[in-house]
Order: sequence, then C-alpha cells, then structure tokens
Amino acid sequence: MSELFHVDQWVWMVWISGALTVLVFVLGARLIAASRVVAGRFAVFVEVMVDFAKENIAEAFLGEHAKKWFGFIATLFFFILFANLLGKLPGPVTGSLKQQHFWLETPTGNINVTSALAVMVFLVAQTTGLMNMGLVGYLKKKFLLPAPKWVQIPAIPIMFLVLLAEPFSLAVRLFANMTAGHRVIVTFMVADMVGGMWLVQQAPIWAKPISVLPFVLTVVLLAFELFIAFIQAFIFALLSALYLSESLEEHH
Amino acid sequence: MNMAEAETIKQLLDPNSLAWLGGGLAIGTAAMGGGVGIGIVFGKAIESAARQPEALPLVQRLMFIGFALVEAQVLYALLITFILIFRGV
Repeated sequence: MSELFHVDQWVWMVWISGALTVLVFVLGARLIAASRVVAGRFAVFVEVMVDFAKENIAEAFLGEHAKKWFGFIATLFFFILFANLLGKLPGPVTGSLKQQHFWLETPTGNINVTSALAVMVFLVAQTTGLMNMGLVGYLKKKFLLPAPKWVQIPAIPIMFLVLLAEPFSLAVRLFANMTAGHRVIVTFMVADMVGGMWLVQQAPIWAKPISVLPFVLTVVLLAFELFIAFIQAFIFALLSALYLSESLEEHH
Repeated sequence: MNMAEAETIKQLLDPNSLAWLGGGLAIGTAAMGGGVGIGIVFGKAIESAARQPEALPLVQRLMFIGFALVEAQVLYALLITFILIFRGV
C-alpha cells in the first residue's frame, strides 16, 4: 500500500504547482473585482496574462466556442507554465554522492505527469467529438482522408497512427524539453565547478576577467530555459485548443 | 579471423557500448535535421518581417509556434537517447 501512495518529489511539486495556480488567480480575481478604477500591479499582471491566453490561444483556434472552453485551456496553460517555472528554482539536495535525493523538481520533467495531461486532453477532445458529431460522423472525420476511395482504404491504419501520435507528441515534447533543459543546466554547472574553477585559478592575472565567461554562459542558458518554459506551456495549450477545435467543427 | 579476434569483436559489441553508441548517433543525426528546420523557420520569419514590418506581431507568433514544433522532432530522438543511456534505472 505504501508503494502505491508514496509521495515523491514530483507529487508534491504537482500539488504545489496546482495550489499556486489556484492562489494566484483567485487572488487576482478578488483584487480585480474589488477595485473600482485602478487595481494594483499584481491584479493588472494577472489580467495581462489571462488576456494573452484568451487572445492567442482560445480565440485564435476556438472562435465561437472560446468562451465555453476558455477555463479549460487557460487552466492547462497556467498550470503547465507554473510547473515549468517552478522547476527552475534551486532546491536542496540530500543524501550521498551516489544516492542523491532532490527535494525540488520540475513536475513536468516527469513523463508520467506530462502523459497524464496529454491523455486528459486527448480524452476531452475525443469525447467532445463523439458527443458533437455522433459515432459515424466522428469515425468519418478521424479515419477518412478527403481523397478517392482507393487511397482512403489503405490510409485508415495511417490515420489511426496519426490519432495516437497526437497525445504522444504532446507528452513527449513537454517532457523532453524540460528534462533536456535541466540536464544541460546541470552539465554546465558541473563543468563550471570543475573546469571553470580550474580556469579561474590557473589563468594569469590579465586573463582573470575572461575566465568568468563559463559562469556567464550558464546564466544565459538558464535565461533561455525560462523562455523555453514559457514557449512549451504556450504550445501545449495551443495544440490542445487546436485538437479541441477539430472536434467542435460541425455544429449540428 | 581466428578465435581471439572473434572474442575481441564480441567484447566490443556488447549491449552496453552499443547502447551508448546508438544514443550518441540518435541525437547527433536528429540535431542536423532540427538545425536546418529551425534555420528555415527563423529565416523565413526574418525575411517576411523585413519585407513588411507591420506584420511583425503575427509573424512572431507563428515563428514561435513553428520553432516549438520543429524542436519537438529533435527531442523525440533525445527521448530515445535517454531510453538507451538510462535503461535499467
């Protein structure tokens, strides 16, 4: 039983990320609702982010259904954004050199978390498609290409693979971006500790300022990883809005 | 080829070294295609922004979307590298 409910560092990071999303937006909504003319900086920031999500994700793809589905898409976007950004915080590491135990991890750097999100998006999109178009209409849309019959019939397994590739690509894209970025930062930090410190100690006195460059490069990489965190959250929400809009097309 | 040479070759081709080799080859060849793709995406974006600066916000948005989709392909190969290198963990 304890194997099933073992609370790992990814589990409490997911909880922290979810709680942070709820906190930030409930607080922002209360501040905006309570202010008469001008709200504080935090409330305005929350409003700017929500406006960005609404304009670029919901209304770009969902059109007339944007109002109904905006909550889902925005929650997805902000949860993944906060989860990605939380992983960039440095956290304590306990244990010996071989058995390191990290206390702060990127929740989306775990394939299970990103697969759960991708499967949820997949199920929501397919269920919406089935409810909207009926079974026959849904099957026709998903499995039949707009092509002559002698192309359509052999292409049915390919369309099935395309259907399966959508959530797989969502999950792997987010996981691999977060994990690769994390490993690159860790590699550069190890290189700084070993090679950078050697360079600082061994350089002649006129070259000492140049030897700070490895550390500057690591900081630049960390800034790039923050940018990638934002982009990946945006892409995940955008693609899930796209898959949802494919299911919502024929409105009976 | 006698027994000693066959034994050496069998030792060289053990799964551990082959896994590391495969991992390096996977991400190496994938990054080539990814580099070309990202270069095309950003090059076209820069070109269209230079032709028509009023279209910059739209082009910038599509540029980021294109970049993330191309980068995803390279990272699928990185996933294979992770599977090969960190197997059994």
